[in-house]
Amino acid sequence: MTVQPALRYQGHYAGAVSRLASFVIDIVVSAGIFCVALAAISYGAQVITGNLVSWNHSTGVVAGLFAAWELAYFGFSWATNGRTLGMAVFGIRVVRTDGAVLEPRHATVRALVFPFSFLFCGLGFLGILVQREHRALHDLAAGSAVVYAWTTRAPGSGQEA
Amino acid sequence: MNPRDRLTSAGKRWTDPAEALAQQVTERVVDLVVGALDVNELVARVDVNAIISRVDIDAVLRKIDLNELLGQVDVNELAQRIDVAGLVEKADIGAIIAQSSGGMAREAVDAVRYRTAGLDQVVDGWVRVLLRRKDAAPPPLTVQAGP
Repeated sequence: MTVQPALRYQGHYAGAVSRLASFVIDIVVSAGIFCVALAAISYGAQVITGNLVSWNHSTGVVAGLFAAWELAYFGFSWATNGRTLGMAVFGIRVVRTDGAVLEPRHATVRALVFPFSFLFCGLGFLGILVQREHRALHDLAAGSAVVYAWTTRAPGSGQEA
Repeated sequence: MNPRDRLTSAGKRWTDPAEALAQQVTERVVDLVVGALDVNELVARVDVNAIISRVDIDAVLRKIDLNELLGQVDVNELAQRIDVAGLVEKADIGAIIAQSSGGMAREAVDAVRYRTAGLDQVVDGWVRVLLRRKDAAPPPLTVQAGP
């Protein structure tokens, strides 16, 4: 008897490839939304004021807005669903270390610490590779872990994926 | 008239009524027998499976010239008889397309997830070799249903 892959991986700690791939999707999607939003704001301001409005990327305002947007994107996604869009694609989810659903406060801590994992050439992410439970710095800070959490659905069964 | 013809004529006078009588008797007897037969009971006694098992279907099929048979079929006329519009009207094509494409997308996503999880294991294996880690991987978490 063969075990379905989805069931075989269910609850196991997600590895570096899944997490990196989901992060790439999230960055592309969130940056795309951000760019569209900036363009929409510029266009709206131009229509209202009648003057050409452009963003000055050197002042750091755009960078600050982008950082705030990323914080909101990841924090809100983890707090509400336990997963971002990229994580949903790869069937992984953020949970508490005991498998419980991630609470909003833990999601907020995770989102706030997340940027610090990039410091020192991404040293905070090293835990995903070498730690037994593949927990990065932001996971250790928030008491979270990322696991495979997808099940296959029979077409038309309406079961949760 | 020669004597031989006279003899034949006399014979026919006897044989024709006798033949007609014999035919009538036979028909009556057949009617009586068929009427007396219980066809259902007769059919019930027949072992159809045994008969079928005796038939060499392969030999029968070998004798059929499918090309000749198909050559006699007028496919164009057959196709003209099909009410395609009626069939399309009855079939929910949109639902069929949505179901099949949805199933394909789901299978594609599952395949991507499966392969990525496999790559995770490969990378994890390399790290374990590099770190000379002998201990077993941690047990899976019992994940609570998400919101």
